[in-house]
Amino acid sequence: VPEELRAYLAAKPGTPYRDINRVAPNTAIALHAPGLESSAGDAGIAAFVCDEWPEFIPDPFQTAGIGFHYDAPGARPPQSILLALPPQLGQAAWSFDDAVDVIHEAFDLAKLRGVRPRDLAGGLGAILPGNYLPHTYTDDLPSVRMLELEREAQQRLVTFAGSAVTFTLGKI
Amino acid sequence: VRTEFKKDAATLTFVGPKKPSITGITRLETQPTAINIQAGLSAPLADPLWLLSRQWQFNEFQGEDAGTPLRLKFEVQGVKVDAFRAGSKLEAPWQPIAEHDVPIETRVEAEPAWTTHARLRGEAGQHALRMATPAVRAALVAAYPLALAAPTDPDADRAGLLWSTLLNARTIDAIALAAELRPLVDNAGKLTGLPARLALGGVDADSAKAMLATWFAWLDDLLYEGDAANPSWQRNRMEYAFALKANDTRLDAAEYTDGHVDWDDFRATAVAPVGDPVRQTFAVASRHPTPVRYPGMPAERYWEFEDGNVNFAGAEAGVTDLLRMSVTEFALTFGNDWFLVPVRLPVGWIHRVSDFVITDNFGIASSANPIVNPDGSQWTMYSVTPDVTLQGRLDHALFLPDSLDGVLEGAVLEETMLARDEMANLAWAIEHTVQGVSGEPLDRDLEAKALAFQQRIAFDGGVDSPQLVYRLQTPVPANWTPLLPVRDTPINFSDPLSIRLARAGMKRFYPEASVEVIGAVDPAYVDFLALLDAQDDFVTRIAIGDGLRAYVFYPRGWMLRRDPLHPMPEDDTLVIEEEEVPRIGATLRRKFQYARSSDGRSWLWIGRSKTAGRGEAQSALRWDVAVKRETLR
Repeated sequence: VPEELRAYLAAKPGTPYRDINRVAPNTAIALHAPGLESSAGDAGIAAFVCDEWPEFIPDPFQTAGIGFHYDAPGARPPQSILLALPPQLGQAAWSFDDAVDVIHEAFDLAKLRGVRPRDLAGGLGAILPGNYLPHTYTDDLPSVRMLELEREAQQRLVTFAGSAVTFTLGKI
Repeated sequence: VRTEFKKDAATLTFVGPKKPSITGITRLETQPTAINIQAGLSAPLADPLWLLSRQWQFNEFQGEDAGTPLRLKFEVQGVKVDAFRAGSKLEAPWQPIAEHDVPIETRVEAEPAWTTHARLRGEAGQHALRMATPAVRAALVAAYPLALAAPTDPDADRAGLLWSTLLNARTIDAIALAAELRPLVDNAGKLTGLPARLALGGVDADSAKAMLATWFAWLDDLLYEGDAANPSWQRNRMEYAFALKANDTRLDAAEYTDGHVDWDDFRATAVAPVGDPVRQTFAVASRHPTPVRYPGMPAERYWEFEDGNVNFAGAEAGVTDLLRMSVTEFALTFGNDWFLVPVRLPVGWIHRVSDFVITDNFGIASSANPIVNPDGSQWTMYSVTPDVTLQGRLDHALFLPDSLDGVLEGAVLEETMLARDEMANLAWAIEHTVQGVSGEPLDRDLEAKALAFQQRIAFDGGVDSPQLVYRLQTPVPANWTPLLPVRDTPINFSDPLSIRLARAGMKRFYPEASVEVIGAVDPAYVDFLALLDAQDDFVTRIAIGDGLRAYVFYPRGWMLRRDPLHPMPEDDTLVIEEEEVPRIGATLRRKFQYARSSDGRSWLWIGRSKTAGRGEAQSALRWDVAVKRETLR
């Protein structure tokens, strides 16, 4: 019995309460036989079966709803899991500030993630992102030999394809 | 120089020298980042930072000074509806509503069923005969034979012919028997004696007493017989009107036509309370609210699938279509701020939320105010429209009517369409079905053919034969009854153009059979006139002499007449309000209805309904027409 009806039903003893929504349906066959002798026995019965006869018993209790407007916050949990690593190797324990910084950094990075190079003002978009690879012929600096890598790659492809194919630069 | 135009004086006034200014214009423009929106619409997933970035763009990390409602504590005060009043007249008496009383629908709609349905009377009598012993059976048939005469027009009333042949004098009239048993039944449901007409004695009398008491109780439960002059039925509007009362609140249902009572049928008004009301408090100490969901509700998050069946974004709204735009706006913007809490309440009460405390996840308690119109008007969409006299007593309130569910409807006993006919400047009441002698439906569209007689004169087409045929009146089917527009008498000068529709009769003229028109007298014509004379329950003959007969054809149904079993009296008038016959027309139906009330008892009654019609009718009714012989059909 729902909480709100307890006092009502207690004030009226004998009032049955049934939640019609929770009554399990039973198959019932009713035989209406006016004038049929009870001793008919094995004489056989002619029966009339009504396949479907929908009848509704209205529920004396109705589930009403109280709707209300409440300005609930629109904030939602983040859709990524942040795995925080200690900023110093062998750190004994996390400090609160470290943890907060990790979260702040993640959100700062998330905002940066939405920025495209061309959105950056002052020609910076032409320079960023700053993942530049140095390349010298003299090996004065640690460098990546792009032409050599390209040649090797082309060689591999030719071996693979069986004939020399013209490849556009940068598409390999 | 700045001048100002004054509307009332129609003059230009010098206001002062104009100040020099330069207006700068800034244009806000969107700068799409791609040539098409394909990439944006496909909403691809990417690295975790991208997911966070998208959430940030959709304000999902926005801190608000708000909390999520978690717990509710509320109280509902109920007042039981305790009285019923039929009709719309304020001085009509209130009838108390008992604990397991007649359902509202039955109480409002029920009308006499036994008197209009001879077959039902006969079959209820048959049930008594089945229960009776042979001696009692013979006595019953001798004392209360069912008189079911054959129909005057057996071709039209086939069911009437069948049932009159079967039942006439072979069974008993249940109502005649019940009327004599009623004074003999004591409080315990036993018979104190037998009617004088039943000549029975000894053992037969005792068995008859026991049997008739059982049968009488069965008959009483079988059908709910209403009052002949059902005060709920508003004849001039073809609608039901009634009122309910809960202590100091009156609920008026002025236009009830659809067979299902719900809260939106009612308007509430304050009345002086009488007696002690039945009140009850339904209290809930703690319950969780759930966010309101509805079909097509926009998903509030970006990576979420929506139900595609209802598409609010696809609603096309014109520039002036504010209502549609506000629905879309509500669904898209405020959809996530509504919450719902279920509460289980007894029906037949007016429930009012008297206390409502919302506690959010920070432990802050608040309440919610009732929805009121800012301009003070009373109409609301989702609650009973209250009158100003209630002074806010019905704010936060809901009326749960004790209505029936799933009413089964029998075959239509009577169907009448009301339709306008702009060409003839009339309205028509077209009877498609009425009850025949047995009470079973009779098809008036078929019957109308038997009620028409046209003489076809074969012209030889020679030079001397007439070229034009004059017609006094073009024929209209006999089941079409004109509704004539009438002015109010005395004329209402405040609204002199208002009209109402008065039911009339269709007058037709026929020459006597003895009068020679052209050609020989058709023997079928004599039979036809005799048929009209025999059906005096709806065809009234007017003697006008000069070898002419006039017949006035009236409707045959119970909705357009007070008593169609007898000839039409002069004082049986019916004036329908003009607005009740709109351009779309109206369909009126009378039928058996069967339902169970919440206590499990079954109810059978005859009720009426009014639904939309099928548009205008065209009778092509004209007077004084001359038609070319060639076009004559």
